[in-house]
Amino acid sequence: MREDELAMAAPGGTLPPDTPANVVEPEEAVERHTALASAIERAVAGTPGVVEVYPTVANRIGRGIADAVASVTAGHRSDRSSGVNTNGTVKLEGVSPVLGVEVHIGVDASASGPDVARSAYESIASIVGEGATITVRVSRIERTTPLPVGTMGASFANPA
Amino acid sequence: MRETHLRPDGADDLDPRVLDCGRTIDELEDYLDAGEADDLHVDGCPECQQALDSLRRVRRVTRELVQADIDEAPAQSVDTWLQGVVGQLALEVRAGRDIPIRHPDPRAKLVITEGAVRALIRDSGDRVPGIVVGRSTFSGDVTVAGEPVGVAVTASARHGVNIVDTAAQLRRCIVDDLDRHTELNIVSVDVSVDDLYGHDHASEE
Repeated sequence: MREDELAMAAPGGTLPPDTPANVVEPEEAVERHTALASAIERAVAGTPGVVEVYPTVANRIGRGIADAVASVTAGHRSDRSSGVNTNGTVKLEGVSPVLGVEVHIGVDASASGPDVARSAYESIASIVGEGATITVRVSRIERTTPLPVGTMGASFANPA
Repeated sequence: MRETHLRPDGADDLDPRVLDCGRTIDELEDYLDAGEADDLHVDGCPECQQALDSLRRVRRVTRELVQADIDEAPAQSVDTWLQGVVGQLALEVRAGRDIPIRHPDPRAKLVITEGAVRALIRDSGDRVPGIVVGRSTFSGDVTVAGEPVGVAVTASARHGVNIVDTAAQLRRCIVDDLDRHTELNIVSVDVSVDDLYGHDHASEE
């Protein structure tokens, strides 16, 4: 067996013995990011005025990052920061400390969009470390209460 | 390969019936026809949701026209109007530019998407009887906080309504909604009623 094969087969990890101390093992990074992303998602979803935390946009944006992690877990190592798109609703970029957080939200039409976005930001900022950049993108304004009688529907059937 | 189009504001864009997420307007119409069965993508995609809102709005108007049995609205003229409204839908619901929301913390980037604001404007039309919002465009740089921005909206009015009053009412709703949900420095909101529905254009010829 070659030396590199021996290293890969070593119990407790896949990294060779001369790995620098600042390299984060992929599994550990993924676990940590998953927990953090879930906490962020819960905090944002619980912010008054937020009616949706959208997954698909974050997925699309985060695809490159997810691919990078897949590459790392496949055995390509790097001592530079990588990132993960953990739960599909919160995009995290970078390893410890987290360098970037991005969420896409839907806001209740009866609330104030900017105020809700700022509240969502505060929710995230209270969780992630200082120095992280935080992006909150309002992707949709949702009307959660029915329109009053006399607007579009009724008026068409009974034109004045 | 997708067909490209040049928008009046100079921006190249993709097929007007394909959303950025890859779904087509036809697929979303099929989704509505099939009773909106569970679809993980559609459920979690703001662009699809905004397009569905618009399609539902158009269907509601069409259904009401039929129910009202309006003599002036034969099937052919309704179809033509429908095609006009739906034709640009995918362009309208795209996320587009990021419109900033102020925050004192430099690590904060808070934005509302242009697509969400366009949808908001269309939604404003739902609060006004007898009008359906078509297209909305912004003049000025919406990506820079505080820049003067003008809004131009096209709309279809129902044949028989007082167009001046209805357009003014729509304009007030748009101003209120933009004020509530954006920090744009709006300097003008122009509403152009460029079409009538519930009216047979062919009979005029």
